[in-house]
Amino acid sequence: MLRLPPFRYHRPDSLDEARELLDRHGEEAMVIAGGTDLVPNMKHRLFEPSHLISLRGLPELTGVEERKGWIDIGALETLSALSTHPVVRLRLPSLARAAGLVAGPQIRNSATLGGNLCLDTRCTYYNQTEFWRKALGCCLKKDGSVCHVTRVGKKCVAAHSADTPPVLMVLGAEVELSGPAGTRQVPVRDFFVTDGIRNTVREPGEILTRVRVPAPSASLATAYRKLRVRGAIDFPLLSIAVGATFREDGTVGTMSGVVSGLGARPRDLTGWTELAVGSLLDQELIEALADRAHAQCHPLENMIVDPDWRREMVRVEVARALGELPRA
Amino acid sequence: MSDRAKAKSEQHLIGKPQRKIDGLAKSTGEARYTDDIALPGMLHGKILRSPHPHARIVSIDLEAALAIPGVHAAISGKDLPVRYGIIPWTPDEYPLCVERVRYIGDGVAAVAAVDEDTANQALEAIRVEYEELPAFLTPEDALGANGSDDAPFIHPARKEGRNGNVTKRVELEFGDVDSALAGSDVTVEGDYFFEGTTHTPIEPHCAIGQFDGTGKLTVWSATQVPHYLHRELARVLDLDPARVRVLQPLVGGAFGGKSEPFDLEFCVAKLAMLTGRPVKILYTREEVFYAHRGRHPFDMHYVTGATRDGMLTGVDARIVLDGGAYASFGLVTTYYSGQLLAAPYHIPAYRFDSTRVYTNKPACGPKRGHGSVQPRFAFEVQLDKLAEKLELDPIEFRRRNFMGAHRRTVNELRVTSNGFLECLEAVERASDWKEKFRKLPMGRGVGVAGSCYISGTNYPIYPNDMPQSAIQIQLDRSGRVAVFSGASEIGQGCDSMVAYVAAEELGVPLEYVRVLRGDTDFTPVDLGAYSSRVTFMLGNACIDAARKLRRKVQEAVAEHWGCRPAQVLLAGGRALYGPDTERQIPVDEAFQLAETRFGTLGATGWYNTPKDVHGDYRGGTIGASPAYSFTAHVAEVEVDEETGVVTVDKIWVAHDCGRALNPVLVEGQMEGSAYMGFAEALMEEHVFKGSEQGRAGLHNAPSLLDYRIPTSLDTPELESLIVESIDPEGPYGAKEAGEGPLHPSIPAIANAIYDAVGVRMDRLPFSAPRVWRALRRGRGVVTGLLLLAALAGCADPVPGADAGPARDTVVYSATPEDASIIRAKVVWGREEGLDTLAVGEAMASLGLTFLGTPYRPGTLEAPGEERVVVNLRELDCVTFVETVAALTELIRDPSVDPEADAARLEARFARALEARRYRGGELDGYPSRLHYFSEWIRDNHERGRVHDLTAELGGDAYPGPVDFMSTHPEAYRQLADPDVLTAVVAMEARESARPRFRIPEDRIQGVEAGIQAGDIIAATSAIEGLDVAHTGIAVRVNGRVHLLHAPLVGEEVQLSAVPLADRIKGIPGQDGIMVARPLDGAGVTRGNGSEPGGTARPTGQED
Repeated sequence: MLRLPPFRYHRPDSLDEARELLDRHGEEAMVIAGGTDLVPNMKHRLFEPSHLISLRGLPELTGVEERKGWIDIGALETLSALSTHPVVRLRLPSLARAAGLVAGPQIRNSATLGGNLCLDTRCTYYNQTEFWRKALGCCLKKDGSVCHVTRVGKKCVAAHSADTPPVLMVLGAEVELSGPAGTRQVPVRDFFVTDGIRNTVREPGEILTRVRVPAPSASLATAYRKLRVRGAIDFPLLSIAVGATFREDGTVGTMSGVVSGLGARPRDLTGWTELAVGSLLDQELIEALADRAHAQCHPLENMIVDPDWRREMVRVEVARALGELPRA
Repeated sequence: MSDRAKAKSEQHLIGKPQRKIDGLAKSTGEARYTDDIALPGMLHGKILRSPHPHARIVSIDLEAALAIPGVHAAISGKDLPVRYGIIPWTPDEYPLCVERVRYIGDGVAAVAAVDEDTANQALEAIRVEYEELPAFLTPEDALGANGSDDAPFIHPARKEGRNGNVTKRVELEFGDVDSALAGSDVTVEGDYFFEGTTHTPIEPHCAIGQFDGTGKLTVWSATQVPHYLHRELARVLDLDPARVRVLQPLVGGAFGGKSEPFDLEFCVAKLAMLTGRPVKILYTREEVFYAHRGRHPFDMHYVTGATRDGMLTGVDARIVLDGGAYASFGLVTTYYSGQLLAAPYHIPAYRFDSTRVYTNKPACGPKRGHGSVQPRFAFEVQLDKLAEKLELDPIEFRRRNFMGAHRRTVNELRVTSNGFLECLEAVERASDWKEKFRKLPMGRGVGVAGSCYISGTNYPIYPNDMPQSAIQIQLDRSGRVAVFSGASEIGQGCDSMVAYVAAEELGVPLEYVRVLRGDTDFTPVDLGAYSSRVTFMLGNACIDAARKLRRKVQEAVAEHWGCRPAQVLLAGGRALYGPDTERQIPVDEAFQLAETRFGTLGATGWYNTPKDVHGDYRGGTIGASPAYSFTAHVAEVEVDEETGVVTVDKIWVAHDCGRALNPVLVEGQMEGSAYMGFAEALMEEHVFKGSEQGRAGLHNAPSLLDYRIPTSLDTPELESLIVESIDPEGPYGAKEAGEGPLHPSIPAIANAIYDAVGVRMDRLPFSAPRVWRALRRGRGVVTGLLLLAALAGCADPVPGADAGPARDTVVYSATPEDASIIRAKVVWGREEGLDTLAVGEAMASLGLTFLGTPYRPGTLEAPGEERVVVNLRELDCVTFVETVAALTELIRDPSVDPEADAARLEARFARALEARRYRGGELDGYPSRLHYFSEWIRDNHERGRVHDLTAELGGDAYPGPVDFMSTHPEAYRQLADPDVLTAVVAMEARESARPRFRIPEDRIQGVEAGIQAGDIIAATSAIEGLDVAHTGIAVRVNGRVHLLHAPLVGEEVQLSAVPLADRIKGIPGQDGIMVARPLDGAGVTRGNGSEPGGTARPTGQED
């Protein structure tokens, strides 16, 4: 069996205590919540922190409640809890769906929303054992200087592979980060950057504490689709979140879409507003939007699945997601 | 029923559902597997593995590792320099590499330390210096090697001048294959590729070694062959076999992946001997992938022939097996790749040429269905293609070729019981096949396949004549029955099986039976869990032992009761007096009587295989089995045409297991097998990176996250249909059930995909990207491919008709507009009730809807290869007739769904066109087009599509040469090709010699009463060398026959202003007519008895 590298485990009871531990151990420490991403990565020697600071005992990071026009979700809420929570299911059905499509039930029972947002980017040349990576020659994301995907590039193209962020982006959600300098709010749209090595703006000393979603208007319709080989377990080969509001005459008021599973950052689709607003969402418009998405998305060989097929599936999956938008 | 029979039937265990005796322990976690064992003072071992696919080992330095506190021993290849291999003739492995590493993951050194972390640390401290060698990653590379010093063979050649990269080549021929194929009415030739797959047992390999003060070695291992492990441990470690003990705790799945010794077993033994402490090694999942021994990638080429009445004539196979770095079972795999195909069909002539090649990748070996799953895939798809060519239902085709029971195969395998026909019938009925095949809407389909497999091998792996399986039973005065079994319980249920047999024979409740197992110190030798041998052999051995004891008990009780021993029954925990079953005693009392009479009660029993029933040729013993199982599957699939995602909705699995000793376990094996085949069909791909991906020979992704096997959510519904043929030599008639039912899954799914969307998947796996690519290739905007799959109505040839070949595919061109016209016409035709009219009336009505369609000549002369041009937008006189006739066929065919997607509809239409436009209904290049319309009529007449009325209506013989094309070659661009021209000249010579009839223009009016609406009219030509000048369809207007046609003059489809008779008289170039009446029915395709050669339709024939 693969062994974990040795580390010291801390279980603070409060956010302050956790931050204090984080300050004290600096770069030797990492925070752990559900551990479903970090633990296998540690077994692969992608991370070897000397100190793991568990967030499991922090009451500040729990709870789901709706107040003052926001739905406020603690970062420690598990994906199982999210996918079954009555408020989430009723008010944010696509978020519940995305959370429920992660891995399998046992993993969702442990994995958290905050962890899903902070999920490390993934690549077929990176998420492997140390033996394998050394046999290959390590890559620039970990211990090496080359990218085996692009072969020439000096930029890491590991893929953002979390299910909930695309939906959160469409919903206009923001995250709360608590760090030495205090607390700051960052829109999920701005949370991710196009750096496969470290794809969020979260500083090493910061803890993602809460996720806030604007209470959606009654006219906002969203949908989420995940392309994968199996009905469970698999990370997305491609994921699509779409959101739209419709006017009384049935024409589109707003329209946005996010595609992920491509590079380090979920991709906000551009040019949709111009195409969609004021028109009826008919087959013709769906195809035009899907074509627009297709033109913007270029899957790479960062997963061992035919990238040409994945690219063509952008068109298919976007069209299907748009077709799934609930209509009044 | 007699009392005796009644008492027995009530108490029988055999044939009834029973629990597995270890089921509860396994489901509660109480069961102990090898890794659950922790011995006092136990050390943990790890193996250092090669990061290179092929390299010389220059040096290994263990010093730094040994210096680490907590490290107790470190070894390398030179500590165990003895070659081993499961097949005695091909020992080519060392426990740890000596001098050379041959794949990424090959074991180089091993350590034992106080814990795993320390052992890992020690591995990091070992310094190995390598000298890299060129790696051979494909069989092509390996076969092309010359074995120079710079690029040595993976293993040295066994004989000078041979290629050391070849493990084994087998060439066998039975009967005269070339003559058989040459004499076939139809043949199908195809290339197939089966990607390698691996076993993925839940439990990784694990072993513990212990060496005691007396010099006795004990090894616990998750193996499925403890006996062979026992032998090889003694040999490699140079120990007396009598002082080696192998224990096999419960095994968490194996599937063939644990059926030979592995490096860890030798390493724990050696490390235990060096340290004096027990040593355990547990593979990581990654190491399980490197240990592999999974299914070989097979590159296969098949030619299969049949007569026109659907009897197989011959099979010619050429196979290259990609073996990986070591031989493993490869010698057997190479034979199996050909030998096991010879049933259940009668194959009169068969040849195979199989070559196994070494490559620098983890070694391939036996996986469930060893060596025969790959060829079975190819062959059963070949059969599907042949059935289609023959226009036979593929189940009927298989039925016709059934070999029968108690027969020898062409390669002289002795087949006893054979329930294959019942299997076919079971899946046909359960799946509602007849209502589904070629009848489901586009995107859904069904496919069938069959197979056979061995119930063990008549010859053991190392030559000896001792029993293959044995058992010992001891009875106790309490009624307890102790069964000592050396068989390998790997989850398949063999421990339970012997418990059922012992309880059945000795009449005790199942709970009285203890199975004491998996320990070479106290169990008789059984050769292991491989080749589906255990139920057959161990079951017979157990019956043998139990009956010896039963006879003693019967004798003792009979003596007590004063009756004959045969009158004493043992059943349900009692001994009963047969003639009066009220008279009975508990079984423990019966045992006590026997123990009193005979002393302590024990017996051994054994089974050995028949040895004189194989073919008398080199390799003839390989594949010989005491009995063969048979299987048929029907799979039903759904294919998402946008994504290529294949969903298998259901597989009906019928399996002839001889007799189901416990139907629940048999069903479990059937479902598990079908699942495993399904997994290989859709997902599994054991592949390696090439040099362009950074590291040649590196496993693509050695984890269960990326090596995808289906989850429960992905698994189809599986319906098991047990067929019992009661084998004369099996225990209670039983044969195997653990491997056979895997085989047909894959070809049945491939054939179902074809039925669903008309693409042939000849390469595994049928992953979404692959199917998507195949669909794209198959359905280009311009050129489409569709098999007859789409063609309902063609599956049943007209009785007595000359059923000949039909093409696999129709290559056609069309535009989206054509598809919408086809759809509109079919919808209109149905609304108008054309499908209820006589075919001629329907054609006349439909033809009229084309009035005004523009005339355009030469639409068939598209650039490039000849293909079926679909063009309903622009017509000439002939394409008008063909188009109307083909559309009428679609309207009248209830299985044609006008709402089906465009590709399917237009392909269906193209096939209807092809059936009329080309000789024999089959496009085969430009010369196959029926250019001269007199030949068009005769060819369609011969195939039952039209009836030529010309002579019956009083037509005159109309002799004369036809040679317009060859005398005007400049008018036909295709004739620039000398081969085409030659073919055309030959065709013209043939046509010129054939009788032809014409009704002269002055007699047309006189025969009008005999012409019906919808009849096809050909206006004969007055031009020298030309038979027909114009064509159209007869329509009645005010009692007279007019011509509905697409003429040059007028430039659109029109109805002649004057009656036909007057029209012909008025045109100088036309001097009479031929009349052909369209017929009901789909028509039949003529056999390939037609002469080769070509024809050409003259241009300039329209008026």
